[in-house]
Amino acid sequence: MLALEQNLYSLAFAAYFLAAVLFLLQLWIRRDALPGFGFLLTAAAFLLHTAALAVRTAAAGRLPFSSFYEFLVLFAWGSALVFLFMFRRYRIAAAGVLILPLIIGILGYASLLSKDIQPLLPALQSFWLQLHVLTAIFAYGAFAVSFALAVLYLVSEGNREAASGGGPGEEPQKSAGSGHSPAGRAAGNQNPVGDKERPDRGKGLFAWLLPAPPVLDRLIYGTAAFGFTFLTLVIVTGAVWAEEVWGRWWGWDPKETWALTTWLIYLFYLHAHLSLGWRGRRGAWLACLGFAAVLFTLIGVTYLLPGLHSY
Amino acid sequence: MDRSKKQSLYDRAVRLLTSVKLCLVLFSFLALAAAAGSLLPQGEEGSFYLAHYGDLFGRLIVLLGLDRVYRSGWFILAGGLLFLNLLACTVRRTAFAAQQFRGPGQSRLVRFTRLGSPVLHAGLLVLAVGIFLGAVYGKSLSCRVPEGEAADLTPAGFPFDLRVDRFAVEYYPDFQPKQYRTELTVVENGQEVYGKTIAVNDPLHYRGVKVYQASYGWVLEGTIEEDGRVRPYRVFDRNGLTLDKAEEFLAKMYFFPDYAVREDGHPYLKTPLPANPKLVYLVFRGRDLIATGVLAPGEKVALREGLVLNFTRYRYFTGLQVKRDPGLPFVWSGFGMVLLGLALRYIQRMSPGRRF
Repeated sequence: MLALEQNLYSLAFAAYFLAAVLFLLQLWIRRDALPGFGFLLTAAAFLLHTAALAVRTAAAGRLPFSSFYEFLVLFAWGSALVFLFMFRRYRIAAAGVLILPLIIGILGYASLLSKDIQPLLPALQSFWLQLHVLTAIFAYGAFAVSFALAVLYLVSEGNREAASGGGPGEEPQKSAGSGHSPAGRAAGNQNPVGDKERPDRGKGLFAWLLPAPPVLDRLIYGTAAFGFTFLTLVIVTGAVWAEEVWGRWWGWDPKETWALTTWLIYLFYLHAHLSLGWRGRRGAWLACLGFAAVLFTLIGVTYLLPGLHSY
Repeated sequence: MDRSKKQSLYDRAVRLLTSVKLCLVLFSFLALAAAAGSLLPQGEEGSFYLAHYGDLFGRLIVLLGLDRVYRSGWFILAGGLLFLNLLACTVRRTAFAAQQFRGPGQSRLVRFTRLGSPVLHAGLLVLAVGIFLGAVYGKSLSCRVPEGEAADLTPAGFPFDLRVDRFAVEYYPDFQPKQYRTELTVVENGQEVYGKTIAVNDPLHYRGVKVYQASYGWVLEGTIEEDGRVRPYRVFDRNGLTLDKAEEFLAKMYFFPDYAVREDGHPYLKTPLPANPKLVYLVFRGRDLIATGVLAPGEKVALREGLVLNFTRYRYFTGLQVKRDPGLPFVWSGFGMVLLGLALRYIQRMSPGRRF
């Protein structure tokens, strides 16, 4: 069973890798077919990844939710899922340039960890654990995609700046990103050339692939808000579980504390975006900061600040 | 003139207190404080910080209350300010939503989803009330009770006492623990009124009090004969026991439920089951180790002339966590409202006319 699981992971890894190559090729080769193939390969990798998770579930007789290795594999799975969904809906091919290497990185890191199927400790035998982890997959996956989009945003702003002869780039107009017009049209408003011919938005990295900054800005907000909703669910289900197992729904365990810190950072981002009109670069930097907190919660806290959480 | 000036100062204070900017400042402040509290060890003695962080930083940590971030005055003050800010914000959002609600030309669903934001923010207020009630009126107690004995909870202000009838550990085939269970009987005014076997993730609920399976271990019992006088002792596994009246001799007691000896002479646990129970004792005089030995139940040893250690029985103790938190219904309601509010906001975003 474990051999089958590992073979499926290897195949998934190879497919993710090829997809990453296709997406990265876009940096040098302009072919409209490339992102399409990249998408199909990612989807194939995702199916293999799902099959591997199913095999592990069958082998363990429970959902694979209980070790750091298992969660990292799920984190990569959630990131791929949110990316595939995003790609289907908004066709932001450039996001693949960042998300696929991230997935490969997470899976590569996971492959270094112990893959043993451990029996469930008494504290982990809870329905709430399953909801807790399930919601965390979506939260972290959405934050990863939000981060990738934020990096693209910063790159595209850099390109625009370079094109307009340097100087601090202006934030996109509040009205362009404020959401009363559909994204495509907002993009059209921003760029007088129109969207059909994929104009050069300055020269530089990704330049021809990138949608207009306001579109990216809206998507960063959308994915961050989605992630935030699920992070709220992670915290609530974790609280219910902690109340059942330790008799306190909140205990300032390092992992809890960092989940709260992450929650507060995204809360700041959402409020600044909606109420103060913090669009563009500042918002993008906040999305990056939020994801840094996610990674610290996941990896930093696990190794540096051990507490009640095994991962 | 004077009066209007006062008024405007008051106005300005209220405006600041209810502003989005203050709310963002508080988010950042609380995020930083929470992170600091997780990075610095919490709740240690002052000398600990001086030893680990140097004289200046150690003093600074204690002075600023960074050794107890989550209980420090400034942290609670920031929470209180956030509560007031949230209260103002909720009132504003509710007024706005009410206005929208009455507005013309919208489907019932869209009108309903406008309540998302106020419900979400009101949920956080309810949560805050729950936290406050729990902090002020909540009560918590942990105790270790040997099998067959009672835990007197009424002196601590709980409405009943408990009797521990049995404790058991269930193992996987590789002797990893699978579940810990304690059979409990609730005793009220000397009457047995309720019984339940609790386990990890399955506490007892009775009259607003919850009892949790928290830990377990072994209790060792026997007698000490000193100069012809016999007195009983009871000691928890891995604890120390004073052997004589002059308090000269101290025994550290280790219990091995399934005692075995490795080739190098060191004892080890073959399994966690009591198949070959042995007490291993180390006797110290001051700091000097003067004797070690192994006793089976029923055996005794003379440690010196006129001082005999007798090991008679061993049994499990169960570690219970008992608590009452009157804030809990508010906490759950608050969480529920937050989730409902978030869900309504999503329906609002997805409803026609708002589609991305």
